[in-house]
Amino acid sequence: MSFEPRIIAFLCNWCSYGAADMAGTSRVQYPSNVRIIRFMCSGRIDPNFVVEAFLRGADGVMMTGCHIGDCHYIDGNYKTVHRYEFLSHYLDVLGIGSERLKLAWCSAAEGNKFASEVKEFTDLIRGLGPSPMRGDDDE
Amino acid sequence: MISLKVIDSHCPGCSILCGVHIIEDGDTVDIEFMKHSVINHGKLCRFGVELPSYYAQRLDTCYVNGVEATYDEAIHAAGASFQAWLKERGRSDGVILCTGDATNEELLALKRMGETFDIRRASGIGHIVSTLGPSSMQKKFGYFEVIEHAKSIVLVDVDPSVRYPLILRKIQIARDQGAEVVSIGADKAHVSHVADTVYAVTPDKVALTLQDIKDDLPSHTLFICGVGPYSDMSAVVEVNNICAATSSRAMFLKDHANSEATLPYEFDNMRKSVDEILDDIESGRISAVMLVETPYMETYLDDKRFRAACESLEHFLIVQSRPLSSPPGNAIVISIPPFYQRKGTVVNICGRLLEMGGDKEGASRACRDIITAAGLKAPLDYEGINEDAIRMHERWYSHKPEYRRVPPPERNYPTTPFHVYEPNPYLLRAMPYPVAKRASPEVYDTARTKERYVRKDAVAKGVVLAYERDKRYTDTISHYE
Amino acid sequence: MMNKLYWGWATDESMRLGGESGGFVTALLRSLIDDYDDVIVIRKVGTIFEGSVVSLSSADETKRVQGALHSVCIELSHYIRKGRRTAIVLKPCDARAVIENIKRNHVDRDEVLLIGLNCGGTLPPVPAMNMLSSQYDLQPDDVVKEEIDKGNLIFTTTAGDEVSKSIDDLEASGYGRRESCRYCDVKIPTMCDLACGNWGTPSGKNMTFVEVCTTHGMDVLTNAIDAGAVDVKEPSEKLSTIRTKVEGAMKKLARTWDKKLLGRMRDMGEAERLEHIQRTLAPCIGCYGCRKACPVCKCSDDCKCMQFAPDDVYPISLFHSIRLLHLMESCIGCGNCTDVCPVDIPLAHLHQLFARSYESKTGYKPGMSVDDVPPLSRGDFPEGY
Repeated sequence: MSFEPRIIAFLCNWCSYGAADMAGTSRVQYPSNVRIIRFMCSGRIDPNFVVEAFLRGADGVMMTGCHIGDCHYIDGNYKTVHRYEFLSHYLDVLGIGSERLKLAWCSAAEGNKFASEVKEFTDLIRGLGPSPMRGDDDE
Repeated sequence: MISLKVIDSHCPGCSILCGVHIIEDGDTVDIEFMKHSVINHGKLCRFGVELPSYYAQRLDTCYVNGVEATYDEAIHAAGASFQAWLKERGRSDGVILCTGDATNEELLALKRMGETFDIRRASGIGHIVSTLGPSSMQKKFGYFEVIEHAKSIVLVDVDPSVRYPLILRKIQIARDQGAEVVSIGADKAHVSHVADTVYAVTPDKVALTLQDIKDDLPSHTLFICGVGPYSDMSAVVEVNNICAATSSRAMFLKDHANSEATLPYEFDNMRKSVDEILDDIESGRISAVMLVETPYMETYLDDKRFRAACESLEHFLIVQSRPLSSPPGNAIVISIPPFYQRKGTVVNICGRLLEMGGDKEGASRACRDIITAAGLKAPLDYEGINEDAIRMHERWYSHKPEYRRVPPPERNYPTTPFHVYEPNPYLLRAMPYPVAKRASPEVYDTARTKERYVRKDAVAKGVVLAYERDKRYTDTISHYE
Repeated sequence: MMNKLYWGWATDESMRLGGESGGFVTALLRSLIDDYDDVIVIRKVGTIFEGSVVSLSSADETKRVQGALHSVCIELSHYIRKGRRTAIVLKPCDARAVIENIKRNHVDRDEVLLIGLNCGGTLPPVPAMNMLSSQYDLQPDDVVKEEIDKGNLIFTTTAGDEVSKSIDDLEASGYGRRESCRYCDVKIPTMCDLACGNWGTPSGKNMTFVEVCTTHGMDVLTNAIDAGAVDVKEPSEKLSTIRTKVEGAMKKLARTWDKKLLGRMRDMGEAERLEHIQRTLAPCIGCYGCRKACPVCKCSDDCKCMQFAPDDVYPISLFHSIRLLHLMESCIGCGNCTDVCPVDIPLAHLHQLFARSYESKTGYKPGMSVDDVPPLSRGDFPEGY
């Protein structure tokens, strides 16, 4: 059986979730490997959530939110950036690899961009193979 | 102004008696690791780490027949009760049951009290084998270092990942040096990483398995054997008899703090298990019971039976520092300070005499006062007992008994096929659920509820503390009050 | 502010000769006792390898202060309580822990007076006692003082003899300092109010080299001089340089040990390192001792890392992965977690592996100054996004 990546995407309510919605309503195709979890703001994405996602067998994690400067809560996504950098370093040292974590900005109108980001990331992970933290396939 | 007070103490979790600093800060108790302790080098198991929540629960009040009373009232009631019992006892017995958590001085005081009133004493570990003392171990290495140097180790009803985790690393060191490890009784998932061969049998089969494999074991085997109120005594006796016949040695790990001391102080002259004592109470052979630091009415596996038996007694005295959720109507309850506050000495599993850092007297004071209240006399002044305790320890430790064969017990323990490593529900918290599941479902559920009760309480307290520390949340707290 | 350097000593003659390095710290504490609610020091219990913490309450009790006691590695930051004015004598890692606790709002900077002691490393008490009998042919009762000087570990016996052995030799044979001390690169606690030590003092003169690091430290020192408890003078240029050189040599040695103890993990490939970390953490029995002992881990029991048992089914338990994550920007490398681990997992090495690589990436070193904000907490405008 070929490897199908399991990807968790953390979406912010105001922009990237809107983008995913837009992609859906405008019938833009994107891979079904992605599992979406919605937050009120990408600044709410606790690094612990990302770690737990990897421990629970995610092959890749996406953190997405509004563009810098467009945050609904003014500077919530500044925190997202700092956490993303922090987490990428952690994943590198731990040995999972920071390439399995992706940060992407999508405004509510960028349905196409969201779809292409997901597609690009899925292809990347498919190339990388299953996460070393992933145990037996027991979804 | 309350100031910090640091007490050099020992963990009451089991008979290893790990060193630990207790930080007393007003009403709160915290721990700090005692890295200079030669016993544990500062390392603790989960129970030791959770000691603050263990010590947070205390019995502060005395009760007479279910009604709150002062210490003096309780002592007088106890003295009167014993006097009355002496007159009406007839051919029946009395028993002082103390499973542990008492200092040597307290054990000695209890022994003398028993002699004064002609009451028998029990430690809850039935059929104590007389050569179980650490002095029967070879002395080439330190007590626990023996494990590191063993070539063959048999774990009898011991799960080192759960109980006595401090010996786990010693076993690992031994394995690195090529030792063969066999485990009998413990769950496969728990010991497969430390044992080469695992016999995951139910407790009633432990002794039989031991008999089956004993001829194949090397002559210099080290047995690590758990001994507690729920242990299968026929397995314990089997281990002892193997050691008597070969040059193998045994290390007996006991469940409660200072239960090793029942040997040097000849505390236990009854040699009956808790179940047998309950039988005797139910049949009327025992008509007076004194429980010292033995909160079994709430923590014994069959706690309903224990409680029912005790509540049928006319003369019933409880001396303890642990809280009682509902004091029985027939009991006189005397509260004593928690273990870490007491002064005196304790003996750990290696036979070391250890000093307790506290400055209060526990059950020995209660014994003295009760005897005085009953109008009798006994040599129970603290300095005298302390001296005697040290002298008796020296005498016991200097003589090196040889293993000798003992007859196996008439009855096999336990009769019901349950399996637990953690008899004390305060310890049950440290037990991972898969292990608890091997116990009967009922025991498992009790463990779960008790665990949840303790944890929730501790967590709630932690949250409140966290809020209190942060000024921003002061309003929130008052809002919820 | 340029840090002021002094040579200090106790004015009381008996204290000067009886105390360690001129009795400066003892005399200073004595003058402070009425001003502070808690004066926290380590007190000797029996031999120099055994000690417990005591809060001094009267001037007489300062007699119980017993030098630096490098073989009693108690983590002291646990003993500071918020809302109480505390003076505390501590080694650099304790001081870093206090600074981290100040950042976490568990300690108020204005309430504490930190008197730091220079530290060339601490000895694990029980192995040190074994070392004494096997390498020095002495018994723990026989020694009254231990000192690390010029790469040697020196024990002073009750008879007054000094027995010295090279630390390198001892450490090669498995004894010597704790492993986390070997690669620790903070030797002079300049994050304290006063940093005291005997490096750079004239030999045989019974003096302490004092570096005053804050204005608060300066006030305390001035008050103590005014009260006649201690006296100071300017140190000579030459000996100040020697002090810097001693520190430099120690730091150089620390870098060597860093390569030796952590280098292997750094050189591994990603997959190999992940497997190594998994294997190292596998024997965990879930006692939570490392969390309890950690001086910077100050969440209460509702922390995310407590929501799962450490022996859960994940490849690396959530407990450890979250602790590795949280401590990446706050591990001060005190080595307490390794010391208290019942199954001897070298946790400090793992945490330092993360913390040191993060430090080299961001330049942020925890516990060095209250004003350093961790990168994760800055929340400033991110460049390049």
